[in-house]
Amino acid sequence: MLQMKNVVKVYRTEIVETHALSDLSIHVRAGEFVAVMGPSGSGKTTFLNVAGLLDGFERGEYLLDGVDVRKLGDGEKSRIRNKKIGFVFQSFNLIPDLDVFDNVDVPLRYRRLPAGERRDRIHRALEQVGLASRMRHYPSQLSGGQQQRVAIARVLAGDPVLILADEPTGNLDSLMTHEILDLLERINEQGTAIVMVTHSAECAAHAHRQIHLRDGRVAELDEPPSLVRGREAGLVPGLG
Amino acid sequence: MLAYQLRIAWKSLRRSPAHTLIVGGGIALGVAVSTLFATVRHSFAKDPIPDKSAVLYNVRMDTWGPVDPYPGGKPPPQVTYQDMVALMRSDIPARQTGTFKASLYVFPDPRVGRPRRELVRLCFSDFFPMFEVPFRFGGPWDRAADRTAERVVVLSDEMNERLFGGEDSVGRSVRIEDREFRVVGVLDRWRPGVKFYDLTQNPVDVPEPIYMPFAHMVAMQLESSGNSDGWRSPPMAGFAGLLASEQTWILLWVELSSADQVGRYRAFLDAYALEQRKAGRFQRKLDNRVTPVRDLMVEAEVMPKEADAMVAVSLLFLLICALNLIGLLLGKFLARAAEIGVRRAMGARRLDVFMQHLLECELIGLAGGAIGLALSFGAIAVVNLWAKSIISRGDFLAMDWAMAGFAAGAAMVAGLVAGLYPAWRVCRIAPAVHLKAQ
Amino acid sequence: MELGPILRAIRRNKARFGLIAVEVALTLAVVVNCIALIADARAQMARPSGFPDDDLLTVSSAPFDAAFKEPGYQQAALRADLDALAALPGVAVVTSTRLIPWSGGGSSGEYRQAGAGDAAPMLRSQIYNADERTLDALGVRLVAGRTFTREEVDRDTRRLQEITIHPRELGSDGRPVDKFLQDVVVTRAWAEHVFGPGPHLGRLFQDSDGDQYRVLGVFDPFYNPYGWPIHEYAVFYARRSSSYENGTRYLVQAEPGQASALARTIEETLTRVNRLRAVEVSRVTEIRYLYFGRQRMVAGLMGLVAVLLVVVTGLGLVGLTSFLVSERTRQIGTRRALGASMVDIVRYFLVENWLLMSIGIAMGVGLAVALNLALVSSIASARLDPITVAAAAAALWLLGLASALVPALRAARTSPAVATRSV
Repeated sequence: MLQMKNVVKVYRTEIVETHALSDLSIHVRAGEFVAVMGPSGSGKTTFLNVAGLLDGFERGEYLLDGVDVRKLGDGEKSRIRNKKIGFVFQSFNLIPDLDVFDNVDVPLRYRRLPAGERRDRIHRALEQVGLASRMRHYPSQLSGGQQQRVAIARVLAGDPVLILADEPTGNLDSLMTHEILDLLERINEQGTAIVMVTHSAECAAHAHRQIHLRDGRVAELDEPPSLVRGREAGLVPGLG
Repeated sequence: MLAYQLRIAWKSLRRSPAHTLIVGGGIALGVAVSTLFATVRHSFAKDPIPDKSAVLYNVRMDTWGPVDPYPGGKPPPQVTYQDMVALMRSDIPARQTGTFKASLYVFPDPRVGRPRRELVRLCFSDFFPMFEVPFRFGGPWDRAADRTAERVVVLSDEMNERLFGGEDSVGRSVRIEDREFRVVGVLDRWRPGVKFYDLTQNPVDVPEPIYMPFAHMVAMQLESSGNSDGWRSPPMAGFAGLLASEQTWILLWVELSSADQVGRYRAFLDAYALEQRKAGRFQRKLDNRVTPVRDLMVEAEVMPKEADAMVAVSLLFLLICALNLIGLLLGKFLARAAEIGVRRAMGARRLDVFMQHLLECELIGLAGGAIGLALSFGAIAVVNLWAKSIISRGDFLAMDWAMAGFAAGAAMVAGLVAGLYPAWRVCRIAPAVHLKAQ
Repeated sequence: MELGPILRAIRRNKARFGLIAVEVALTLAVVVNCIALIADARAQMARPSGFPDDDLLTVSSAPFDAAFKEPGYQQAALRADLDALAALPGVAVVTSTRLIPWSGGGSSGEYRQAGAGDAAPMLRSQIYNADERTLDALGVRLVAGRTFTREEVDRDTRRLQEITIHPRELGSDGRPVDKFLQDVVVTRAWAEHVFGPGPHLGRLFQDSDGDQYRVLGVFDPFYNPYGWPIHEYAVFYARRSSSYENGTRYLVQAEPGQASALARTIEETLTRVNRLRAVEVSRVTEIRYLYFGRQRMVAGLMGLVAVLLVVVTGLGLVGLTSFLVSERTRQIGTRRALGASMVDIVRYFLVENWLLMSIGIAMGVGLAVALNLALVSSIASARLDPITVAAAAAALWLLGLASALVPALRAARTSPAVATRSV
């Protein structure tokens, strides 16, 4: 499903060159639920951006669902994001000017689906997350948990093969956290692979497998954490 | 997809009405100014008689003296009486007319007003069908009246209003100078933008209020009240001397419907000139001209020399208006980076983002263009009012479909100029950067 | 000063900063050329005629009664009109002439130096009849010789009338056998055109019939626009308007300040003298106003564009500088955190703006010249005036600084804390 081999990602600014990912190799199989953990600066978010084709990389190999994504142009990458990947963000990232229905509609629009099918998919997805009655509400009228459920419905409507979740419960209280994780588990049981970046060991426990990142690569379990701390200090990015 | 993007654009415009108003207003201002100036130019440049400008030709002959050319080096703009008479014997043109204007006293019914000098156009009956002169009542006199100097006149709508209160005056009588004329026709409103059939004086003048058969020139011994140029004294005194002289005061127009006819007519002119040369006339190098309407307008420099410069300046004004909006649009679009990030993550291509923002700009552009068009209508009315105190007509500048199209095109180009860079910038936003934002 | 870093920052963000420079450049180029067009129109309108235009009135009298076909009646009517006009309070001089200043037309004829052969070029001049008061009425200044006496006017009028009634016999060359010699008063420009530099008194020129003209007086200046470029050339014959049949014209010079009052009274006075004609009175200032209608319109419209342009660019600059400042809020916070004072921040943005304006103005001057060359090809006189360019550039500079001040002051109030807030 997701196969990265020796991926290197470098951020260049005027002052420093930061290796955000160095020789990262990760393999996620279809239908798997993987948690990616690691301290801040370890490359979790960069990994997710590269995995989600939101960002490029310098060296290495990345096969997504059997497709080598390195040589793809913007149009093809956009199509893969649209059809195969679903994003769940920590801050939900709903569009504030669109109501729930229209927010779920966004990826379907870029898939250029006919109106009837879009409507069916949106209804089904919202029913799955239990928000069918809130179709015409705006994000600001919903609680954090509800907003995240809308974001998940947006993913479900697109029927992806891979969900990339970035701290999906980071902004939620514990009750809502459980709700969301249960929802993700149910989705995973239906066969969709999930890669979830998280800080929390409790969350990570819901996953089948945990991958720890340190310093832009998969950490060997015996690597001393102190070394990482030392390296991290040198990696403060320059001013925007 | 287009409908969806239109909806997003519309939402975005509604979301920040003040911003939309400023951007739309900027484009409206630019469109209004450039449309006004383009209309000024267009009013001089447009074809005054589109159906026939290709078949109407002005005739000139270089009858000037042997030593110096007519000022400007071209043949004089009008012909002599003797040449007009000789040339009009030709049967090549389907229609033809010699014409000039005289200033004559018209005596209305004493209850209506005191006698007044009015401009009277002397012409042949072909004048009316040639120049598509519209009639409300009656029609032109017939060709026989041209030969017999029948006492008939055609009145303009305004003159008919003044003399007869606007009623059907065909058959009524009007006294001009010392004789009575019978009205045979009353014109409908006739306002060719440029007075193409007589460019010798004010080219934007309104047509004359009265028309009578050319033959009255001789019968009433009428002299031109327009330009009359000559290079030598008449061979004898009095009106007979004028008729036989080298004085040029008559415009000669012919209708030639094919290139073959034009060729034959040119040959006829040259042959006539060579014949005359034997009698001592036409001593200059042969230079006879048969000029179509629009070429004559160019030659007569109907267009004010400032017009092109003014249009150029107004287009630059529009460009600057559009450039000024770039900053505003950039600010608005970049503030939306997070939303764009989400859309990109959901699979929107760069092109989708680019097109959507450009569409938004074009939407404001068109709305601004519509307002600009309305503004330019107002501006044209104001300028016309102003012009009325100078050229004594308040309808010279006229908006038409071509100018409405110009306004729409200008608005879209302005929208493009203002929106291209912001839309490009916003579609280059790296989606990942803004997804983490709180 | 921190010129170096600012310049480098500008270089790195060419598109955004370039926009300001381009905007300024275009605005300068257009405004300066608008001003050139306005200045050209105003220069044309300011052209002096050489006459006291404000005090002049022109009167047209056109008879519609058959009584005027009688030459005796015409003479009497003319006399009566002139007497009635001269008697009006506020009238300084009155004369009968067909010259209408600023009407854009008149009559003209061709001459060459006396003795020059038939192959010599003919020179064209305006021709007008004048009586003993015409040049007085026009208020022109004689620079040499004198104008006609009453006796000369009467004598020449009779002679010319004689020729009209009894045409002279023509020779084999088609010209009159008997030639005449006539004294004329001419403009200095005409005399120099025909004879070169003076003195011109007593010099002779002739027309195509071979009749000769002798310079009796020279006056200057004279400017009456004509259809051909002979605005400054005029020859005045000593001749009273004789034919009244098709109407006549009078020129009235009013006492200073009386012209507008006279315009109203002249029409009724003349109508009272003789009701068998129509009278129209115009002030020469009105005719002049109409004559320069096009120029007035050009100046007005270009002025409108220039003003709108400055307003639009001013607002646009405020918008753009605001954007450029707000875009760098975090950077400003960082600078503040690193110890920059509010004054430093304001200065940074003002210096940046000053640099951008300078680049824009430099480009604008070049663009203005290019645009002007493109315009000049059609309007020869609308040239750029360096002082105008400098003044417009300075004004634009100030406009730019003013537009940068508001966002710069706002930026200075940025809290250093924004630097640490994650974006």
